[in-house]
Amino acid sequence: MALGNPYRTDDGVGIALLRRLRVIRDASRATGEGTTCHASPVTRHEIELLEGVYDGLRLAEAIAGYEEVLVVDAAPWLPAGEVLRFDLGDLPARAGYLHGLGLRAALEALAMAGERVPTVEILAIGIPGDPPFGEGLSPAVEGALPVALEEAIRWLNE
Amino acid sequence: MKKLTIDPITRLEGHGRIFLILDDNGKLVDAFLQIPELKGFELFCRGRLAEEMPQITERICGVCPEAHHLASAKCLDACFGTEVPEPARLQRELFYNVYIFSDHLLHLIFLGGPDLLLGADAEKAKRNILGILEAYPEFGKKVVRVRAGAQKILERIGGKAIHPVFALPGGVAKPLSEEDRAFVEERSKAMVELAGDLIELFHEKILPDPSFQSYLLAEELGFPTHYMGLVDGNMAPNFYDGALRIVSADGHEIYHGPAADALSLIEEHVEPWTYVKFPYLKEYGWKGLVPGADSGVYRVGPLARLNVAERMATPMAQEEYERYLDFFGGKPVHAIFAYHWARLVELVQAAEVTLALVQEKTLTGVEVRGELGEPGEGVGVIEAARGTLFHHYRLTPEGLVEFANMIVATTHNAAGIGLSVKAMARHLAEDGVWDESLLNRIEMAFRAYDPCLACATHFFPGEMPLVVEIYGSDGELKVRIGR
Repeated sequence: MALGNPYRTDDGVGIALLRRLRVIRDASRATGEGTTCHASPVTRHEIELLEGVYDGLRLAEAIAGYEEVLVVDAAPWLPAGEVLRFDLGDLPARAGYLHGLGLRAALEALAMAGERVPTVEILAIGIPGDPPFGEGLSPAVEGALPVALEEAIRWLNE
Repeated sequence: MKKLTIDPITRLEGHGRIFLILDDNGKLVDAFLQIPELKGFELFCRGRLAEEMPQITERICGVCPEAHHLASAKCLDACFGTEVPEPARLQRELFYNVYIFSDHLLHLIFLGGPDLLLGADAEKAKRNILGILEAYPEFGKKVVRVRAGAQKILERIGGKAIHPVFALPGGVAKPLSEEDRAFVEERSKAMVELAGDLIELFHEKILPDPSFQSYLLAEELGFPTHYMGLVDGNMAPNFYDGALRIVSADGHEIYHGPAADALSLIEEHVEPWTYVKFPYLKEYGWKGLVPGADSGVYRVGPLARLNVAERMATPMAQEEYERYLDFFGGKPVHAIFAYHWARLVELVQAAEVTLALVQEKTLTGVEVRGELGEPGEGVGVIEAARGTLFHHYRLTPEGLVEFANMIVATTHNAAGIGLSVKAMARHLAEDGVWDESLLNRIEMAFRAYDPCLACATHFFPGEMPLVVEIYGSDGELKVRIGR
């Protein structure tokens, strides 16, 4: 599940990763190999690649019913270009506020309501704060994509 | 293991900020709400293919992509001078009423709901969706289940789970199959049933609460402004389409006519302390950030829609509307906290309209695209859950976007929200003690509008943070509370 706005430069790094992953996944399905971008092949095929938004409950509703989910998102709280993968449980649980309930709290709520919720890991990619409108990524964030892509494929193949 | 420190306050551009200014005795002197606004989106749209706009604009807001998607499609209908065939119009309107239901439900129960159902003084850690599910387990489960069903409808018609792709200039991408229609009908019955349960809950648990009643009836929390919203031919609120009506603070009609023409009635005022522009009614002029019959300040959203309407479109909603008007002694209703009740009335109408639309025989008709004319200029107006949304584009002869402008609901309401924060702070600030509970009550005035600060941004932790800053008479920051 990639989050972000592809029309807001680095904010859309998660979507950019997902779209590249889609190409690799499709190529891997066809040939069992990676693609010319030298990424590793995706060996686990029962996956879905989704694009989404920030909101906790809507995000939780969209991923309810799956077994495992990797959420890929831009992280202005990380140095630009840094890639970090961690469990959702490492994020602070936050009280509900305005539109966002926090993914952790929202999943907990869905579980309380009897919904099947997935185990979630986060793949965060550091971006500079306040990205402007536009397409494409800054060099630092573009440079981090291969690392992040490998991490996503590692997760998929685990 | 690397320690994570995630502080949403580091993304200040995306924050709403409430400033409270105190005198030497700790009494409130003034209060402001600062709403962030990211610049440049309209510029970014220039040169894009017109047909891309419903997909591009829905990305500016993670909260109501459905509203931007359809406002944009309606704007393109106007730009291309096309007539939308009946099956496509019904499909869009069906989708849109499900969105209104789902969005209002989310706010009523899980976002604004904790303040109403658990009380403003409830333990901070419990004032959220989990607290609601603990306090009302069976009801909470039902809400989650029905909302999930509504989300599935949006996915089924919209073509994607989160960002819909179905609306195109002149109509929609494909006819609704009988299988999909039956899928929607089954879930819409549950929506209507839940709407009835919500009315019951509201009258049993929320309305009798003395604290809520005091907020509804307090004079200073019911300041007069003008109101704007779409109405159908019977003067009932219509979320998807209709004529625009503006009524004054004393209830007389200022405008009732084509929604697109209303843009000429509005001007925007700029203040040096906030990025947001304050729209006001040109006829009244900008008299400052003040309420009243002479001020140009107007409000949009559920409260406004019920003030501009003469009736509701469906029976159960009409019954609840009458109870609402009886309580306040007629229109216009100015109370900030009446937004919640008005939201409930609208939710009921949205559920009933959904069930009625899904039983329309022409809904599954196969003619779903009108013929496009030459590209030109147009305006699309829709009622987003939080209020009137305008999209205005001008296209080149090649069908590229030459000009794009959008006025979103929270921008219309910026002045009203600011006035509400100030009114609530004044209402509460008698003893000059600024604790967490008091600050939550001030935020309740803000939350009543279900404001969306999210356009063009998103926050991974899933929150839309608000910062409250309290300044002394010397201009020094005394307290800063961020969530």
